[in-house]
Amino acid sequence: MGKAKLLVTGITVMALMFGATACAGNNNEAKSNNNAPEESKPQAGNMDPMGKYDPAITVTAVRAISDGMTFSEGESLQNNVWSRAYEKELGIKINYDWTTPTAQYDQKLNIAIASDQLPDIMKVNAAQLKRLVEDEQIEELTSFYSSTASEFTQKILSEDGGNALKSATFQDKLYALPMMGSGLGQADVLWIRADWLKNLGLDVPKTMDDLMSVAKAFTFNDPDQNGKQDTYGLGLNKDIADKDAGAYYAAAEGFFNGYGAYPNIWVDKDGELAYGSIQPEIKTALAALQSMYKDGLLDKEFGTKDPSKVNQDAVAGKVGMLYGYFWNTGAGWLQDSKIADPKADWIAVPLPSATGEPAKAQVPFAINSYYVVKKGAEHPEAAVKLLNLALEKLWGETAEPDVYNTDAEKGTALFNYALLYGEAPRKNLDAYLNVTEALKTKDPSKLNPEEKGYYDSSVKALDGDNNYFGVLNMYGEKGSLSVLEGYSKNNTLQNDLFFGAPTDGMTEHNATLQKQQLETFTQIVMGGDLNQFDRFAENWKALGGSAITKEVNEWNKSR
Amino acid sequence: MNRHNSPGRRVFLILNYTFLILLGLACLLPLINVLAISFSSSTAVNAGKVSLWPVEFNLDSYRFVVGKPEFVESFLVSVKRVLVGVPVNMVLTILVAYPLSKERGTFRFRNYYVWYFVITMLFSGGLIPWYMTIRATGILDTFWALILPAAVPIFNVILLLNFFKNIPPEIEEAARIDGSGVWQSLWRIAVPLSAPAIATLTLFCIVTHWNSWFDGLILMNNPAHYPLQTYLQTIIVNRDMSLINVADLTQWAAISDRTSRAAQVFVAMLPVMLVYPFLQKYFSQGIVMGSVKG
Amino acid sequence: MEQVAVGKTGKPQVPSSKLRRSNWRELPYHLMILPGFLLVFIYSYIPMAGIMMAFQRYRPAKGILHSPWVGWSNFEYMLNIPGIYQVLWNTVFIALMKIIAGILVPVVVTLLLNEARVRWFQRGIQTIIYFPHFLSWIILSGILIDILSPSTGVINSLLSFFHIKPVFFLGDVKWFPYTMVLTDTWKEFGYGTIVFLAALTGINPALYEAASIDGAGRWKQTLYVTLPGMLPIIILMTVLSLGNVLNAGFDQIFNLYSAQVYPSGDIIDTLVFRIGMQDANYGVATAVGLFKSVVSLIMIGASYLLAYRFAGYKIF
Repeated sequence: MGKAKLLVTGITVMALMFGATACAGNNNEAKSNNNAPEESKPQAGNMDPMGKYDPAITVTAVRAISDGMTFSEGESLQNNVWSRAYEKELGIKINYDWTTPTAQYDQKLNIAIASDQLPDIMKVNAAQLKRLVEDEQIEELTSFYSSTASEFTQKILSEDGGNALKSATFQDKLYALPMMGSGLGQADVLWIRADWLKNLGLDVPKTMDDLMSVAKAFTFNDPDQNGKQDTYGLGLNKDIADKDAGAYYAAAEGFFNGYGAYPNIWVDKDGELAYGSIQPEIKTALAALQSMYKDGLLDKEFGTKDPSKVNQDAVAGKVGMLYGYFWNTGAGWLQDSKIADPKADWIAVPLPSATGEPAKAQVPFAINSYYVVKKGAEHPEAAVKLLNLALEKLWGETAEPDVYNTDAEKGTALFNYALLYGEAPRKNLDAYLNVTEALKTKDPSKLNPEEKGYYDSSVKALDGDNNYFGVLNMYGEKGSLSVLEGYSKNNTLQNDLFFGAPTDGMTEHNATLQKQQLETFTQIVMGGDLNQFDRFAENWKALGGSAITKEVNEWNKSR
Repeated sequence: MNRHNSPGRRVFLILNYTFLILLGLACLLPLINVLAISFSSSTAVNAGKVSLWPVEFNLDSYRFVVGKPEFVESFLVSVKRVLVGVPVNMVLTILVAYPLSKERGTFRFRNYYVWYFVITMLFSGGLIPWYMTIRATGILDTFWALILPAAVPIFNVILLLNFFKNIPPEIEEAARIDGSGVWQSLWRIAVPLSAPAIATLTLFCIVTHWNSWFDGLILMNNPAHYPLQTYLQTIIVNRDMSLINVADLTQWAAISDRTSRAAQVFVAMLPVMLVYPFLQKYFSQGIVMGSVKG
Repeated sequence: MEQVAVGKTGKPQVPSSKLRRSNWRELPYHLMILPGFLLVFIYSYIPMAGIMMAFQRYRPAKGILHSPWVGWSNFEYMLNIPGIYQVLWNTVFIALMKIIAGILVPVVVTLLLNEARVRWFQRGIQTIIYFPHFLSWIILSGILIDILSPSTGVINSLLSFFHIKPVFFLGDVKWFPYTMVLTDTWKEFGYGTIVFLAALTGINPALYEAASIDGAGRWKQTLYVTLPGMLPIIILMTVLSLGNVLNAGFDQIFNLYSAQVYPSGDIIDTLVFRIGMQDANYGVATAVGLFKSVVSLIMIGASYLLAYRFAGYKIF
């Protein structure tokens, strides 16, 4: 029992260390003018984007080991194609202070930050970045970036219009290199069982009314024709519009978007930024979910089911529709449904909308990781050079994707070994276009190795091997990426208009505000009083939301 | 033993046995569920078809577990940890508990010492200072980080202290007259007479060491040094799927598989389950010892 | 050995020759404790300096010694969290019920096991009931959500067999705290019986013989020999667990609760966890920890005194 207490204390404290930002109510003491460059006089030529250190230097780093990371015989994190390139071309040797599985990276890093035992280079999230800047634990990179970042690096890092770099800038000083990626990959599509639609003679839903009638038919008209009423229309996980939990599968965001409601993101309201979760459209969407729950179109027990539980229902053939990310069709998710029941034909379609106009899918800000350099590190510019090399070898003119990106033969994800990484925001969409084109012409010769892998899998899937169904269903002609490509082409997207570091108000109040939101939304859906929403919106403003809105608008004007 | 039970007693016994059997079943079924999952195909498991009996029986997940070097490595770390950590725990527990079991008349400082130890059960400085202290003593990322910081299990000390108290003072008194010192009294009299308690506490220590995961996670700098439970934690906790790379998805599915998780959970439980019956035997020896004493 | 020195100055009224003799006699005791004393000092007492963080705005680069002091503001922050009193009540309610069930059930099961005289049966059941202890809450949550489900769960099919309306154990605000207590007890009672069984083996068999000769039946023997024999350990376990009045079980609740049961299921640790998800606020974390420690100390101190005053037991 005493031990149980200690353990719980440990867990509590650990809990406090997840994700993170600075304590509330502090003054922003980020040091102005004058730091590192004078202290460590760079050797001549070191500011050259691809210049080599001679003699070689050693930098320390930490990193997460993802589950998919495998090494060829005799290789390791310290000895692989990337580490050799770093050493040979840049004269940089990397020593890892520690490594850890991805799931524990944040905790380990928070401990390192809290005990001020930082490596030279590390990857952090937005909240950690803000805290590190405020506590003056990291180096300012403005001058290093402008002098050492290659043209190509600068191009990729500002490809999104400069928002990524802005999010790493504090009081006009750049403190981090954003890890580039795609926000579009986090927009919802609607997944639907085409075979059930066919069984019942229904069309793909275009409007929310269509969606309701399809859901009703999927629930009551025996879509799987087994003579039992054992199905329900729409799969939903327990974390309704909780961006930190199950937003990727059986989510509610896409449903909300259908009503022009955008929970958790900041939208434009008469020229001012306003919080999506408290807008009246949310109430309409909640009312719709409530009536669906009442009519039995949702799982009565959705309130206890996380994404993997909902997926079990999908695999068991109990669910006909769900909202989620484009990769939901992959192995471990809807592909298992196809394997369990080859008739299960999951297709991705654009979000239905209440008005008949195309719905706008909400897109969170794409950048969630940043690379930073410890204060007092001897060679802050080394981080920029490592990124130069990585982007060049992966996507530049002299790229050698088969050497540095993916080993097609063994299926090894070589890009994983690189310490600093980034990809052009359109990478997956381009892969979809290329793979689809190659499938049409049956000519894979123009594909890069990564795309070639998708192509080969798609061919196998077309030959009837359901173990590759997921890949074809993403990259194939009618794959889920075609839906995202459609969003992008028709500009039916609603971006999160706030992409700065978390404000003081957010760090102080978000946890409680999020709790109230989830509690209110859940209780309304499960039959609670719809007017709870108005109370929630009032409370939200009173309990810190107004202050946050003010901060966000100040941020917006200062851009 | 009188064999002629009264009818009331017989009814009681029947009810008692039935009740205990039901209790046992209630505890056993979830375990059988885990076992059945570990022997089933993953599609069947994901479709929720598996309850108490394997569906589409196969050994894939066990093959996967045994073939996974991380699992085997961390299994060995855990074994080593138990083999070194438990003796350290037990020796220190006995050494601390024995003097504290004495009355103040015999050992004047016992009360100060007792509170000195009890306070640490209640107050802690939190994770960061703890981590920094361990770092400062130079054992971070070494095997000893798993042993030394928790070398004195205070809860166990208090339990053992109370068992020592129950030893009639006359026995030790007699031994003292025969010329044996304090150390001899401890090893020759107190320890043997508390055999059941010591067996119990040994089991507690084994289980604690075997099941600890948090310290391994925080104090080890390389997954290769993780004890088994820390490793298991990394494969069982919910992952942040939103950040996963599409290229990783296929491999991810193989590892996240509930069947292989179940297999690893089962293999991880096995050693303690095997040790328990042996220590349990020791409990009953304690009874014999007690009767000798009487 | 420094303790010996303290003793010397601490009690000057004792005649010095007698003192020296008793110091010499107690020396082995000090030596026995020394290794444990030092380890505890290094790994438990030195880190306690971190308690200062409860009164600081902790800044890693400055360390514990130089971070700015903020007085009681971390505690004020804690008390100003909306709904904190409901959360506090949930915590105490769930924790107390768990403490009571966690003593009562193992004691009863120990007594019943003691009555089942068939050796292999007794040992078999003992071994089995202790299994669930090894299943982590992460695994158990998966199993429990299955078997407690109102539509497909085994428990509810059983209830409907007896014409009882299905209960949504994990989704009903009324039921949730009891479900937590029940499942926790189920997981831990077997493990708890180990201590009591060990205590049972310590009871002198001669006492049973004497009772039997006096004509006491099994029931009377249980009442007058077995129970009193176990009483010290029961009191000890109760007192020790009273330190847990604010520990309602983070691992369990975090893995089983959901937004719909927040009103009755949210506890201090889960609330702090959610605050911590977005805010590595060490000051508040330490403040909450210190608050819990002080409450535990008061509870343990009080029960120590009560046990001594009314039952005459000194528990440690």
